[in-house]
Amino acid sequence: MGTSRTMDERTAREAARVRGRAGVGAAVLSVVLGLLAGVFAATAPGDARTLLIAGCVLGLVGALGCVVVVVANRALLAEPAEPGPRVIAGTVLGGVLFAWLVSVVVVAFALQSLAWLVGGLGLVVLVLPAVVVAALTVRGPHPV
Amino acid sequence: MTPEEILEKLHEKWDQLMAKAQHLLEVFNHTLDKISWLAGWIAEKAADFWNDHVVPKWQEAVDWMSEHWNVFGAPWLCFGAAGDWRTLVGQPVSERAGLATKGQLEVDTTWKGSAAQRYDDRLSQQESAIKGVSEQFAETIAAALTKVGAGIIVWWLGIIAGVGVLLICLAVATGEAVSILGLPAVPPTVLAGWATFIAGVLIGTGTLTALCLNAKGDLEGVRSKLSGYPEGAWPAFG
Repeated sequence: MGTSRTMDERTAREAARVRGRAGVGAAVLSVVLGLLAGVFAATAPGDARTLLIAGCVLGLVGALGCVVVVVANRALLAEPAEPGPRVIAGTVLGGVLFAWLVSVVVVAFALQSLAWLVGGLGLVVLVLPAVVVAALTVRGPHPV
Repeated sequence: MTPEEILEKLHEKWDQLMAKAQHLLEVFNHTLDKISWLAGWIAEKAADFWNDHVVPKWQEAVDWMSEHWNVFGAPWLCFGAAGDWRTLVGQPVSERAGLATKGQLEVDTTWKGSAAQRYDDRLSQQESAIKGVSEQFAETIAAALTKVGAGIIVWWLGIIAGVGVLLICLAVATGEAVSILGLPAVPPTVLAGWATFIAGVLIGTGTLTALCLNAKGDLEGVRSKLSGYPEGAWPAFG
């Protein structure tokens, strides 16, 4: 039993270390995506600019979420059985998805068009990196 | 960084990704060989998952990418053309709409008779036709081009996000593949990467398709509302 628990913890620590690295990569990717949306927003005409500014903000929110996931994985590396960091990762997952929904509502309200509502829904790709690393952190493996 | 440079960078990243995928495959197979005599069930489980789930998604994504690689579109051209329709067509024509209003010329008030009445009737048709060039055509075409341009950008962002997450997952999986304890986690991590790549591509493609269809609908709507243009032609002045 004691050996099994030790092995669980070793695996969980290793996984948390790897997820932490992935989180850093995802944060960089989110910043790149947000900045790209921002670069295009600078030259886009009115309606598209609103959509792309929303995308830029979402990318940066996603990057912030990834940073929180990195911190949560550092905490799991120190104490793999601690439930707190998993809750934090779950909150990040819900938070970035909520931010995306808010951006969809803002774009739809500001532009008053079905086409731009669809465009807003497509902005979910900007929070994909944060969603993936947060979901992987929630999923584990964690010691029983 | 110009959009062309971004596209070139994306090509480079895809090549890197293919190299990483190959490296991962080698590391995975090497570790499988090493542990097969010691922990055959782990090796068997990992190999089955790999062959049944990861390889099909992997192949699907690579096939899609090789098919669509050279049709990435140029949103900046769409935005530029939208601007041209507004500034070079809509605006100048709109400015001239007032010239076709009654009362601009002395002859409008001094000319009397049946010919003058006929001229008056036709003048308002000319005015609404001129206004239509800006409001009905130029603005709709510009808005449609803007939607298509934005759709292309969302498509790009979807592909960049998918490729980026896949790169991260492959790097993570390669780290896991070098240890016996980490090996079973390799196929799910790689699967998560390829699934995210496919999700990014599908979401981007869906958004682009929806925006293009919407733009097409707007253009077709304009073509069917030609009340200001009898029989689809500019109103005669004769």
